[in-house]
Amino acid sequence: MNRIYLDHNATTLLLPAAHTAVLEAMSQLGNASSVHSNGRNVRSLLEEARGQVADYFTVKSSQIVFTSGATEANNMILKGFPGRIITSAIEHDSVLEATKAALRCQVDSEGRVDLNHLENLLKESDQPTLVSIMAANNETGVIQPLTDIVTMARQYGAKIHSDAVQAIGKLPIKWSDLKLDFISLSGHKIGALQGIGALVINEYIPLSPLLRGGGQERYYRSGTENTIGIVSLGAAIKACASHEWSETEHLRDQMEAQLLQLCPAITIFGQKTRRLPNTSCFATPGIASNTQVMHFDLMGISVSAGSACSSGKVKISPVLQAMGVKEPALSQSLRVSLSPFTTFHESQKFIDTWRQLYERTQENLKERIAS
Amino acid sequence: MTYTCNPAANQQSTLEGQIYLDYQATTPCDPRVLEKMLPYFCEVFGNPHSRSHPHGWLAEAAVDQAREQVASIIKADPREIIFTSGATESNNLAIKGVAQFNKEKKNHIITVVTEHKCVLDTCRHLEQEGFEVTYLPVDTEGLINLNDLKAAIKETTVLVSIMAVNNEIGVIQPLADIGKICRAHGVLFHTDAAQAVGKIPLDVEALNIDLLSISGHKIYGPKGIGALYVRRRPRVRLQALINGGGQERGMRSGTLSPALCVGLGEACAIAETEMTDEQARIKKLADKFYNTVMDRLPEVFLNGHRIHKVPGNLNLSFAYVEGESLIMGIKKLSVSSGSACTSASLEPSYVLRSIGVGEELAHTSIRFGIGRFTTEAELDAALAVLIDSVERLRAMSPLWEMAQEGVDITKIQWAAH
Repeated sequence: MNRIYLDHNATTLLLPAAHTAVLEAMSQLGNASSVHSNGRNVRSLLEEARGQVADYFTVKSSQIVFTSGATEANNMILKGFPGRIITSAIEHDSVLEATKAALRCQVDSEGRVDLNHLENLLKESDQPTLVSIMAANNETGVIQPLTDIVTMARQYGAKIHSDAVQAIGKLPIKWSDLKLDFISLSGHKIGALQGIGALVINEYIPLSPLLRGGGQERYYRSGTENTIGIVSLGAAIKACASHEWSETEHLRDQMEAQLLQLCPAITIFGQKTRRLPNTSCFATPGIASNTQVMHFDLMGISVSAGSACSSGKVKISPVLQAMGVKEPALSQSLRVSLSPFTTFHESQKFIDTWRQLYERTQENLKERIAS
Repeated sequence: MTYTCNPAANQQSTLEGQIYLDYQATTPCDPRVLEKMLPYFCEVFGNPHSRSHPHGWLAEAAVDQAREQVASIIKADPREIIFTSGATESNNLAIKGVAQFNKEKKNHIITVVTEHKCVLDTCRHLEQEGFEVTYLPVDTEGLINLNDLKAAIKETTVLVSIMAVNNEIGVIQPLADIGKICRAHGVLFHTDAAQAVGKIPLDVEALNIDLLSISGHKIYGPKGIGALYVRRRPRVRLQALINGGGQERGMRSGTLSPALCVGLGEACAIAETEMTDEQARIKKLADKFYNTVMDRLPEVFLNGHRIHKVPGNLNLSFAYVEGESLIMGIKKLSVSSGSACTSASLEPSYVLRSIGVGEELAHTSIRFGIGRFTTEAELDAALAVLIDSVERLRAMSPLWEMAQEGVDITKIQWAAH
């Protein structure tokens, strides 16, 4: 399949280091909880991977709980936390759906959490509170001011969780300096397998587990460990820590400049604030998201109109809505997400393909006006 | 990279000569399963929920085919299969999901004392939340009494959860009868079939099963994947444990792993085709193993039912032998004295206690799991090690000596000191 894949925020390629780790682990037989030597061998593979994840966050191995993915990790902390929850309006579905009763903090027009509103919500009650704000948005790439959020939440004695799925491996964050209490991460967004994720636990509170049973993962999460998933996560997180994103960011900025030059009426969401180096989300006037996605697909380029949702329909993005984006721009958005391996040639193919669609639409428009 | 799944060929040097007889804890991934999975690690890497491009579609098509393979082995419709992270999640989802969804109307659950820990733990947690749970006893062979079940069902009963095959003693519960009783009383029937899939025929229609849990790594598939069958007609509804993007018809959110789904699908397809021959082969091996042990060693007891069980599970108690010494003596054999998740603790198995095995014998019980890749030569070697160890330990045991002299050990009044 000689296609161009520009949807790395949906899922990305397995890194070679992770691939090797998976193939090696496949040859190991045993249940990590068994006492015999087969079991102990598998256990040591798992613990090595746990160490790799712990090293990335500069925490102890015992603070890493492996889950089936970030969706489970988010559900685990948000449903297991004993107290009220404040989250934002632009979180991933797995946070929004797990906390239907939660308070939602507004965001500004650039997609950043409104700190005044957050403070008001924190003031409202003195019951135990968990603030859950994502590190970087999956659709726009906008980075949240986590340091400020943590400082404010601490003032009010609240605990802090962050869905860091999109930020890990893409931002040079020193996680230990951020002093988050809980962090969710996903394997397949950083070059590990799908079906694996983790919750980092820095603060010991009595969490009610989502999955009960044999008491694996120190009773936080029962179920036989997903060996190949776990080793892939360990290898990928170690490898992605050294990824260089400055060229990707340059490529992204160059693409956006080209788009704006061709069509100054384009809206690039979150452009005025700090964003992930690989993500661009923009609306093209006069062309519906659906049409754009289909056009790119026919031309051999994989992009998306938002998050990979289950319904299969292109739906209005709640993220853009929360940022105050109105129709028609709301249903004209497209998300492009690059990887460190995306080439200049690929980016130019994207621009050419976009230009083709844009010019055709403009011509149609002119013809219609003329007739 | 060449690769084979034959556990013996891939063993690290530390495992040389180690004989794997723990097929209930986990099974090696079948090489044919791995081969089917490999392309989904790198070549087809899309998010199966991405609908806007072929990377997503190819991944989705693979997941759909796997769903058909899983459905086929239990005679279900693919739309009735929900992929999960494993049988623990399937069991949690089935029991909590049904209980929570129906809690306004009904709040009583029936299960069995010998269920897997994840079923029992889930039920205990529901009790704390105000649900009522009846734990049915089992007889000395591990089977439930159908009259107990009938008597336990009441107006408020919403769910009966009874495992198909026990993980420790291999006993097969009378699923058809249980299904009939549940259907007649309008109660949902969930069965944990982690140890049954690929070992006994399962037909959710014929057996009146409403929910059924499947594990990947117990049937020569990968770890970290399982499935839950949820009946569509009449529709079984449940509350999701994991919310989010609404994947798996809203019952289980989260990005699916195409590689793991393909692995589970292929494992089911192989199991479905080969079950009859494989079980016959395993039975032959197991019978020889069992008969040789019984011929050569006196005072050995089979735990569980002799006939209503899967052949690959032999749970034996060796009287007059100290349990830990025996495990040490046969350390070349990877065996277990209980289920894997609890085997790190040395407390005697609750399953064996439930079938009335005394503490002494429970402490000397060993589960021999025989499976797809077990060879006759391995079992012959295992027999030699086992018989030698038991005879050696008994030769050193004063209790054995007394028993040989006709002293009834249970009648001895031990002096306290």
